[in-house]
Amino acid sequence: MNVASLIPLVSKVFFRSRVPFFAIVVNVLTSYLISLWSKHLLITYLLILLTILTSISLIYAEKTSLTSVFTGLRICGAKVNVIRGFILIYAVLLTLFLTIIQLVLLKELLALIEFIGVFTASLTSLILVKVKFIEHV
Amino acid sequence: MNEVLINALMYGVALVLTTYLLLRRVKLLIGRKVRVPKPQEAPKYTYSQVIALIKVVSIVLKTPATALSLSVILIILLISALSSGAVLASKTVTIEPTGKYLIIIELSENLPQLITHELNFKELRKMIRVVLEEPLNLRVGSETLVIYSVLGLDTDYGPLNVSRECYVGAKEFSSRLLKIRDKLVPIKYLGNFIYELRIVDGVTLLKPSFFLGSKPIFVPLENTLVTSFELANELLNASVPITYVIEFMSSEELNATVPLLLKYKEYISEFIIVHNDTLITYFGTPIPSTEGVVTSIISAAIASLIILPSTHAQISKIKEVEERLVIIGFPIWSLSLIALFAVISPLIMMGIVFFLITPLVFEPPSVFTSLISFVITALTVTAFSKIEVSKIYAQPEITPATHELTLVLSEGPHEVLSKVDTLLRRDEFFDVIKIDKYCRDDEGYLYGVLRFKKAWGLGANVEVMVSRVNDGYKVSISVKPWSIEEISDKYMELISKMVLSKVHGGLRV
Repeated sequence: MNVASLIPLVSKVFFRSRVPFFAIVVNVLTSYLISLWSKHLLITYLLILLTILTSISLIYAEKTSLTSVFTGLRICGAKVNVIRGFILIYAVLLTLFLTIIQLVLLKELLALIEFIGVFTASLTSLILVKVKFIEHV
Repeated sequence: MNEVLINALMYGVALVLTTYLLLRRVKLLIGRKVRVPKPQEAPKYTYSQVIALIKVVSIVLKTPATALSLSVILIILLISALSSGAVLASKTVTIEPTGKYLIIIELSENLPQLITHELNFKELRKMIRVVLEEPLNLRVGSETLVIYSVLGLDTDYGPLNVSRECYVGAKEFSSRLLKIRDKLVPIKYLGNFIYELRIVDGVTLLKPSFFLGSKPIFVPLENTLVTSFELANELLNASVPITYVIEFMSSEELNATVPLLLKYKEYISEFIIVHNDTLITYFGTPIPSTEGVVTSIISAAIASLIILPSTHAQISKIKEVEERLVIIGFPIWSLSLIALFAVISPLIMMGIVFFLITPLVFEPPSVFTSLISFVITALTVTAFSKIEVSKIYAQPEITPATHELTLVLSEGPHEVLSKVDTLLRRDEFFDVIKIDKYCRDDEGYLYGVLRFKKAWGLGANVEVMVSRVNDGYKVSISVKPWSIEEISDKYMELISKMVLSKVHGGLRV
């Protein structure tokens, strides 16, 4: 199994899983609320916190579907490094989706704060999930 | 002398204490009867199932998914409460053009200084327009005048000359004198014209008792008193709300003042704005703004979307302990209910705690919007968790599922195994990952690994053994479904049945 064959598998998992869809919907809704309440600082920061929690929660929840993929990859004879590559591609795809939505819907400072928040949260949770998965696999 | 007494007392106490301790020691050395505790009965496990249930909930509570769900719920409820943006309920009516820009505001007795000192309006009229719950009994000579509605005006108004007279709707009191404190005020008859007098088109001078539809209903004239502002104030001991009529030169001036007044909405019992030909009536009850309600509904949707994937992780955690629950004595059908209870109960507990605290901190509209969010989230999560739980804990159909089948056929092992091989390779539902065949004389063995085409990570292993029995051959078929994901027994048995029926049918035909 090589990295090239991972890409169709990653895209298959990405589009078949509910989590990226949930992430996109949640981010769109949160962005709308942030722009609606941008003058109310406390609500804005609570919403940004919510987006960060969303990233953590959804990636954590994705563990179940990813576990089956990893087990499948191991059955197919994939090495740990290949699985790491898989996680990386998946993480980049998911985070990219989330941050693009934020950047498109929000402007200037809010977009920057959201971007940093979501990106950091996604990566942190992915690292946590990755550690767990590697142990599991 | 005192010192001697104190010393003697101290020595005495020390002596008594030492003697007591010595005696106790001696008693212990000699030995005394020791009551041997009766052997206690083993604790009855009456509540073991309740304890197990609590432990299941605690297992769920300890998962990071629960912590995330609870944090999300808390944040969502806070957002809903903060964004409620309480506004006063309002009604807009188009009236005849007045050419005026007015604010008619009724403030509670606690805040008269707001208008007179802080906001310092120039074009200001004030009046008392009240309908009393308890009657006001006024003495006119030897008779009593029962008053339920009082109108106090600061200036004369149309035919009402309140600076010198007061008006009552009872003819028998006309031309007599009403004694208010030390003043004697002549009484005049109040005619029906009072109902026609208006502050502005759409707002009657006399306060209606209530509305029947849009029609105002007034207190009967016999129980109505119209007098000057000062006298009304004295009569009612200044404990009534006061109505102010503030006139502005322009629409901009009026618009700039509205937010200043609405800041004190908790003291406002009536608030009317006249914009030339538009009359906007605000009611004293604060309600959540449209943005607030929209935010609370969207927040609930966000919370549901975040919590739903987490519930899957929580249910999987409960799945790990289901065998133990069955050993304790829980029936299999109750497992799905326990899982649902364990997932929902932390959310409900969180909601109860939140709604016990919020009324102390937030206004009713904020509590209302949070409640909307909570109810929507709780219902959505319960409904979807139920679906999720029913998928995982689905029981097989009543028809007993078979994983093994034995047939007696006339064909030999080579023919049978070739037929099975062809059947499996041509199957529309399964892909063949591997098939191993072995044939020797009258015996044969086939091992196949199949992958279900319609789902990822699901398949079955098939074993077919052929051996000689009397005149025919015994064919034993065994199917073991497998899945790399945690799916219900129902689906596993479905896979098993599909493979078995294929092989069985193919060999029979």
